[in-house]
Amino acid sequence: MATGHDDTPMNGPADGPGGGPGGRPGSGAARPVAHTEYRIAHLEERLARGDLAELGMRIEARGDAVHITGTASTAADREAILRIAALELPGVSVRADIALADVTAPDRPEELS
Amino acid sequence: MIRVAAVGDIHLGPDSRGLLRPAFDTLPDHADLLLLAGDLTRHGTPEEARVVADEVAGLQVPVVAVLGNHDHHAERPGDVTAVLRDAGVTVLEGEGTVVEVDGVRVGVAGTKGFGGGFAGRSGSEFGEPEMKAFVRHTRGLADGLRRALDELAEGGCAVRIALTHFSPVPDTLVGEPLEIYPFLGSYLLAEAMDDSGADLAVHGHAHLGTEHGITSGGVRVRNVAQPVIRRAFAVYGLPVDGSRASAAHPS
Ligand SMILES: [Fe+2]
Ligand SMILES: [Fe+2]
Repeated sequence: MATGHDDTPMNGPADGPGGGPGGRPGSGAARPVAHTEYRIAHLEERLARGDLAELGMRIEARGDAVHITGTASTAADREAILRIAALELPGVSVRADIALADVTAPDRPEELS
Repeated sequence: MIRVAAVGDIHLGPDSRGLLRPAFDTLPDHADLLLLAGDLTRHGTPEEARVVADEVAGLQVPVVAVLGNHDHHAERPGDVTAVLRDAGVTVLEGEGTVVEVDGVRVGVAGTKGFGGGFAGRSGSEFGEPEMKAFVRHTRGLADGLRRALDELAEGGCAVRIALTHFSPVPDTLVGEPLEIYPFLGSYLLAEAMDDSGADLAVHGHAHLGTEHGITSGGVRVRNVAQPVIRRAFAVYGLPVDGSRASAAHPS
């Protein structure tokens, strides 16, 4: 399931950069594609060091887009991850498939012999 | 049958207060004890630890935990441990605890564990001090786990469980990028479990990994990272005959 930021136009994501600290306005559009991997690394670093302490997302370049997959604790966390991704990857099409954690009790045990 | 509930990587902070409590309140229907496999907080602050403590305080089953790397981030693991202990949680690092379930002694040995990689693809205590310290940290924690498991065997535990945050085997990492396996666990943990014997190994840390694995010596391994089990907790039923635990002790 895509959760937004799909097919973002080259001039930046719909909700725009500038919504948080540490954004790098204007750092994206002119960069060659080859630098996307460093920007993904910077995004990972920022997600880890920030309030979310998020190290559990898989972030990968696929074609000319970046895919983010994983599980977030809450819908607010998922939105925050997408917001930070948009700030770090302006001009890059971000496709996200971030599931929400299921916090229900299990139906049955696994019985080990 | 001993019913073991387990979850790791709940990564609680003030915003997620109360998220797991409704499911945890049903624990007495499902399980005899609850294991928490580390990464209970986001940054390892006492404030976040208090959220975790409130989530499990007063549960009708014993709660046994190890810390994870996130619980160390603020470099206050002692404070985090103290907050959890105040709420009745048994926090293990290189030690064991015994829970009595219907007269059966169930032992849990715990350590955070650390990385280094798996047999044939692992770091060595060689070269720069940082590299030596990295591998030495893992080795020290694995030795603590081995000692704790041995003590539980000597203490007559019919069932023994090894609880870690980092993984003892690569099996349960499937889904994670291969390149980061050395940061996700160490064969030294599995070696300790196989040397001493255990009926079940439970770990977390690998959010993108797989639930099921097994050590070379045949100890069943379960990755209970919450994003992996996709529930508030998983439950494993363990037979009480102790046949597996004794398998590693032919004497
Ligand atoms: Fe984690
Ligand atoms: Fe972790």
